[in-house]
Amino acid sequence: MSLVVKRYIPLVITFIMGIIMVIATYFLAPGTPERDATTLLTGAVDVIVATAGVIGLIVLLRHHGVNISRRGKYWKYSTITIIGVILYLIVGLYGVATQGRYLMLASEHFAWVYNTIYTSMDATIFSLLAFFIASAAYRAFRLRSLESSILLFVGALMLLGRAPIGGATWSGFPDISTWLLNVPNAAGNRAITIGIAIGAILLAIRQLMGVERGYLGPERS
Amino acid sequence: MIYGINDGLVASFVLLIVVVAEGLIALYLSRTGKAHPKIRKIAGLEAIEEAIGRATEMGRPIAYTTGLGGIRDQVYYQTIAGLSILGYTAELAAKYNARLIYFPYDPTIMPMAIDVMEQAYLRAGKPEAFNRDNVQYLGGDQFPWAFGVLGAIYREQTAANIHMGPFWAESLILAEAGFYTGAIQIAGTANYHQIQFFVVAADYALIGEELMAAGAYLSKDPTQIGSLWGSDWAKITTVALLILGVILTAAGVTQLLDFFAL
Repeated sequence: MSLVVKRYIPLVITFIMGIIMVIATYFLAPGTPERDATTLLTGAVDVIVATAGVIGLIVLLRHHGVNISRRGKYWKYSTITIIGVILYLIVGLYGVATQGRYLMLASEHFAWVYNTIYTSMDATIFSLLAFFIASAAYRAFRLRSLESSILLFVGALMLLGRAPIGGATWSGFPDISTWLLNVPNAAGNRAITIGIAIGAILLAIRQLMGVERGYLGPERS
Repeated sequence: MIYGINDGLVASFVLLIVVVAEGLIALYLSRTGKAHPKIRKIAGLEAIEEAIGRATEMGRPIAYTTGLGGIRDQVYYQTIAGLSILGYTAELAAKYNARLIYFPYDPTIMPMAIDVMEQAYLRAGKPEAFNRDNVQYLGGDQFPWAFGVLGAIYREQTAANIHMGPFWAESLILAEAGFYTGAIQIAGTANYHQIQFFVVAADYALIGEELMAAGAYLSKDPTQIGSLWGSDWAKITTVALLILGVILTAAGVTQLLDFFAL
C-alpha cells in the first residue's frame, strides 16, 4: 500500500476529527443541531467497532482452527475454545430467531448462559486477584530497603486503621490511616494526575499535528 | 453556530490554550535548533532492548499487551502510546530474531497493531519474519482476556513481558504471572490506581506521563523531545497556579477559585 494511504490519509483524518471534537466540546452548545451532528460523527466509531468485532471473531476462529488442523501445541484447548464460541453463537442466534429480539443478550437462553456460566467464571477469576495481591504484598513489604520499610510501616498503619481490631486497640489508628489516605496519598496521586493530564494533552497535540506517528508504525529509514 | 465558549468550560479552555501554547513554543524552539532540550533516561524504555536480548539468548518468546484500550475509550491515548512502543519492540525483536507475541484486547486495535508490527519488521529488513499468528486475539472481556494472556505466559514460558497501556484489575494478575515464570517485566500505565501494582510486581515500571512520553523518547526526534520539554513548562505553570491559589485563598481572595469553579 502506498505511503499516502498508509500514512498521510490517517494523519489528515486524525487532524480533522481532532479539530472537530475540540470545537464541538468548547464552542457548540449541547442540544444544538451542530453538536448533535458531531455526536453522530462519533457514533460512526460504533460501526468500526462492530466491524472489528467480526474481524476479531474470524481471527480467533482462524488461529485456533489452524492450531487444530496442524495438531499444534495445546490443540485440545483450541477445540474447546472453538466449540464454546460456536455453541454460544448458536444459542444467541436461536434466541434472536425464536424470540424476535435483535439483541442477543435480550434473548432468554443467551442471558441464561451469560448469567449462570460466564458471570460465575468471571467472578471466580476476579477473586483469584486476592491471592495475587497477597503474594505481591509479601514481596513488596519485606524489609529490604528504606523505601520498602516505609511501605511496610505505612501499610501496617493502614491495615490497623481500617481493620476493626485496630480501632478497638487504639482509637488513633483510624485517624492516622485517614490522614495518610487524604494527605500524603492524595498529594502523590494529584501530582501523578497532573503529569498524566499534561502529558496526554501534549501527546494529542503531537498526534494531531502529525509530529508523533509511532502509532502508525516505525517509519522506514 | 458558534456563539462563544460553552458554560463552565472557560477555565478549562484557557488552561488548554496555555498548555498547548507552551508545548508548541517548546516544539518550535527545538525544531528550529534554537534550543536543545535534554531528557532524563527512562529506565523502563532503556530496558526493552535488554529484555529482548535476554529472550533471544533463552530462545523464549516475548509477550506484549496494550491493556484494555480501544479506539473509542477515554483512555485511548494510553493504547496509542502502547502501540508506539510496540513498533519499537517489534523492530528490536525482528533484529534479534526473537519471537514477539502480541495480545490485543480490543479488536479495533488489532489491524493497527498488525500494521505497526509489519512495518517494524520491514524496517528491520526482515519482512518475511513477521507472522500474523503471533497476534493472538483472545476476546474482548477483561478477565477472559487477562487469563488468556496469563495462560499464554505460562504455556509459552515467555522470557520477557511488556505491558504498556490502560490496565485495571488485571494488571497484578499479569505481572504476578510473569514473576512466577521468571520473566523480565516492563510495564507502564497512566491509570494511577494500578501504577503501584506494576511498581511492586514488574522489574521496570513507567509511571503515568512516562508512558505518554515514550513515543517521543524512543523516536529520538528533537522536535518530539521538544514537546516533552514543553510539558515541563506546563507543569511549572500548574504548580505556580496551585501556589497562587493557596496564597490567595489564605488571604481571602476567591476570584481565582471562582474562575476555576472549584
